[in-house]
Amino acid sequence: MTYSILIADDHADLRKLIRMTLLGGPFTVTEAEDGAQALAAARAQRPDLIILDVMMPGVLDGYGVCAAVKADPGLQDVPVVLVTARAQRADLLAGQQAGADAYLVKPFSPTELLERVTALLGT
Amino acid sequence: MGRHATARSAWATPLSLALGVTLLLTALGFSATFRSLNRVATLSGESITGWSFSEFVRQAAEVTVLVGRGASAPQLETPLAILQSKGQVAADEPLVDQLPPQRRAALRAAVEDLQRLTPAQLSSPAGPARMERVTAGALDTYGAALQALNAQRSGIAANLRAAERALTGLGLLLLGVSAVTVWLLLRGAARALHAEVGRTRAAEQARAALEAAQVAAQRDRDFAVQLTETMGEGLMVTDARGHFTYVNPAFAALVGRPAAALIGEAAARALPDLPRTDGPSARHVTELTLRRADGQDRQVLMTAVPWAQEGQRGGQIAVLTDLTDLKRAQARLRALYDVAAAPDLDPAAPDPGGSDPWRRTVTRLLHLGHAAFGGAGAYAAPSGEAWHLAWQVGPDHARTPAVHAALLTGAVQAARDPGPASARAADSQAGPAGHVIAAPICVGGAVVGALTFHRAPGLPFTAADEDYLRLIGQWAQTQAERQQADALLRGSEARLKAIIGSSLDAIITGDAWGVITEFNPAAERLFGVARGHALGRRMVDLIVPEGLQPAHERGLARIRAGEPHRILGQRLELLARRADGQDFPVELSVARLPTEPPSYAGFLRDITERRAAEAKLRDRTVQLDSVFKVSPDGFVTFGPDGRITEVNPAFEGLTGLSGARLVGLDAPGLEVLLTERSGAAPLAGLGGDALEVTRPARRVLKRTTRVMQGGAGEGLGSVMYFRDITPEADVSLMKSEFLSTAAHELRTPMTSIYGFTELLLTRSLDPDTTRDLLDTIYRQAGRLITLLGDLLDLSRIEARDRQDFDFRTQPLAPLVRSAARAFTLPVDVPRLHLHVPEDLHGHVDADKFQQALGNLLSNAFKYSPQGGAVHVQVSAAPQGGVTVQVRDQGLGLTPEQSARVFERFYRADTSGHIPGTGLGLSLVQEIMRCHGGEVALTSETGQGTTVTLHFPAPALPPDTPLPHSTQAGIP
Repeated sequence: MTYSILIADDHADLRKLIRMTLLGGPFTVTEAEDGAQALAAARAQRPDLIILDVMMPGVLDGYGVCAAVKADPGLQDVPVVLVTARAQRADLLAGQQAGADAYLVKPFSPTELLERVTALLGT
Repeated sequence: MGRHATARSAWATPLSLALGVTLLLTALGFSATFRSLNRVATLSGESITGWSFSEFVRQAAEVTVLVGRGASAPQLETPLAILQSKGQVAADEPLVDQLPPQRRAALRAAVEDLQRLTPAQLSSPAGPARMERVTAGALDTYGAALQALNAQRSGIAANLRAAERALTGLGLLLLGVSAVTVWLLLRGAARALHAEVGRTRAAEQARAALEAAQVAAQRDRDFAVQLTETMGEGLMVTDARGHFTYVNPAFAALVGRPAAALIGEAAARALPDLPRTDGPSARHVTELTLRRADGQDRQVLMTAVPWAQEGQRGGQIAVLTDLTDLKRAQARLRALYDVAAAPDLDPAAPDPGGSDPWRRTVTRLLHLGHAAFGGAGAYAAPSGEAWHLAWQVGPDHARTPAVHAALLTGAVQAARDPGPASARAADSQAGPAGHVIAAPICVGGAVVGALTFHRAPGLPFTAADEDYLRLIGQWAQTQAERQQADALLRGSEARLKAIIGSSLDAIITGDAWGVITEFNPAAERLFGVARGHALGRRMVDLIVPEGLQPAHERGLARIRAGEPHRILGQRLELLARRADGQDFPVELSVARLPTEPPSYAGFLRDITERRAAEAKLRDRTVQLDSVFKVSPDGFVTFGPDGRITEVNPAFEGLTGLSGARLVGLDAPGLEVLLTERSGAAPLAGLGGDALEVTRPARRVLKRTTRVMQGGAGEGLGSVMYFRDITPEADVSLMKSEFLSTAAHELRTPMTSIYGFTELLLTRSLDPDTTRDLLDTIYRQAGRLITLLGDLLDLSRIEARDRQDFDFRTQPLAPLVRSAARAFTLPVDVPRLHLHVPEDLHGHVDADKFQQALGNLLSNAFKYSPQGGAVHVQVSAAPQGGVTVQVRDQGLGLTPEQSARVFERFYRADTSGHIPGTGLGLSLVQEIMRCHGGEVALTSETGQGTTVTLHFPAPALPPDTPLPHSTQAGIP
């Protein structure tokens, strides 16, 4: 069985890093370049897990997408992993308030990301 | 008695006899009754003569007393004669006939014995025994007489009862015979009976009075005897010849001889001054000298009354009071009084105390006591816990340890009980040290010393001595208190003089006419007038300026008239005149001195300097007020009560709160108003004192509160100071955001490098993928380097501002060409077109100019991926200075992107294909700011972007030559 995973990051290199990290596992990856795209994709595909960059251009940042996902009855069970360069306490709190299931600070270890994803998916 | 019984039976028997017999018998009975009654009456009358018995007994008792007291024969002469006559009277008493025969005989024998008695016999040693016998006989007889009298009275009573019964029987008989006769008879009988009853009653009363008189006489006699025997004053009785007939024990003690020896002696021997009183005269009082048996003379006060006996000239009875002690006490008192009254004027006493008046007084008192008591006197003073002997007079043995110890004991006792009572040192009474008596001296409740006197053993101090010492102690105490008060007074006078002398204020006293009576050194200095010159002159002539003279005179007149004057008790500021005629301001207060007539003291102080200081202070206040008014910072001042007193215009402007609304408010009230106008939460990163008000405009204010204190530390309230730190706060906010953003931007390439490296290390990848990842890592590392470089540039420019800039007016064409060289690829068709007038000069820093232009060219090429020309146009600006324009034909920007391009780290490209840090335009903007110029950007999506830089002309000082003239020779 394969899991569908949605990746949202405005940096192409970072999307590539996550994609490469997940490569080889039982995952199919969808990518989005900003928050709006990500939320739309999530609603359209109902992925098994979402990985969100916090700082994305546009109206919706990572927190916004996460909160919207958690407020959506059809999506609220989907685990959300927040990836951010902001590592201050207030940022972590904001992530928690938005309902994120995991929080990774850049630069992160791909191995660790993989472990988190695996754990959240229960495989 | 038998006779009466016969008569009664005679009446009772023949009831049946004829009336005649009855009448006869009645007559007989009457005669018997009358006789009986008559006898009763006789007896009753005679019984009164029983008085003589009591007189006899009384006189016997008197004589017995005299004899018992050992009276002399002459003394006994008269009493004995009286006794003899009284005995005779008693023996002749008819009552004696009623006595039993043996009593009668004994009485007669006793009286006869009495008649034979002589005074000499009685005064002899056997006298008392003889007299006792006489008295016993008299008392015996008296008792028997009383019994007889009693028997007589019983007889009378029985007779009366018989008569009553007889009369009853008679009455019954007479009823039938002759009512009228019987009535008449009965009336007579009843009258007689009545008289008899009355007489019997009188006899009873007489007897009771007799007994009472007896008891009273005995009591009076006992009291008189006791009184004379025990009285303290001497009592003497002389006869007409001036010989003692009686003296009491006190008198005997006074004379120093036994009383018995004195009786009969001429009084003049003991009392040489005794006036010879010829004939009875009135009571008189005299002071006499009494010569004692031992030759000593004593002063006595004699109160004498003459006495006469039965019309004969008698002697006198006198009471003598010993005045010697009293006289001595008076003399001591006088001496004491002399010492206390004029201690320094007594020429007889040497000056033992030196210059210390207290010591002098005490020593004199000690001398006085020494003279009075004959012992040694000492004065002990406490020094801390111990006592020491300070001064002493009299024999040296007062210094012996025993005396010293006793003295200390006495003094310490006195100290424990600091009353005026003298204290005897009890333990020294019997000891070999002799007797000690001490009196403490207290001043103000504290014992300052003790006076002590010592006497050899066997000479105890008397109560009079004790009293005298108490007096000496009191004198010493009074003296000590007076001296202390004197010292205090002298001290305060000296102090007052010193105060006036050393006062910094000029002190001038004067009378109600303004005549100067005192002029202290400060006044001399202040007015430049010598005291000697000032005294006696009028103030108006010396120190009052002309302008004030009329007012001065009016004021004095008002004071003289007793009217209230405003100058008294006030502080005035007016002008005074110095000796050199110069007027100067003084502060003056005038007090009325409690003298008679009243005088006035003026206290003057030169206030020239104070005036100057006040003026300075006023100026300073005005200055501060201006600062307060024009300061851009807001001030709120609070009074000592914590309420707002003043608010400056800047504060009103900053907060929009009007001063009128704020004044009177307390700090919490102000806080409420500020909170209403401020943002929700205190600003982070600016400290707790910063607050943000949103009305009337958004401003960040930093508050400082300072408590104001006066010179003496008294609270003057506080001032709250609000500085508008809006720009600083904004910068701070921006810095904080910048740091956060920079961290983010640095983390992004780091993430790529870190992540891809880990993938390469942990996974086995095919060569193409490996190369691709390494390529990405390389690119991101390069980006990181550029980013760091840009960041350093930016922060250096920001931090150093213009300090690193080297502005010169120079031709721009070489600079533009140099910057463009990096973008001109020799192999390519030329895309870069430069339009730069060769002679155009700009006032720029060459390096920074090229950096800014380079950044613009870099952007132009990067965002023109499809190629297209890039034009650089440099021209003189119409408003002065130089304009540099870079125009490309690349991707262009959306309006949203255009709005954000100058933000740090903002990048229009998020694809990652166009490298960049997002700091290029920020750097350009910083460089232009440092040049005082501007940067502007216009762009349209798909059409390209144009960035225009404007470098202003240099602002030159007027005397500096214009740039073009200095650069004139340069082509």
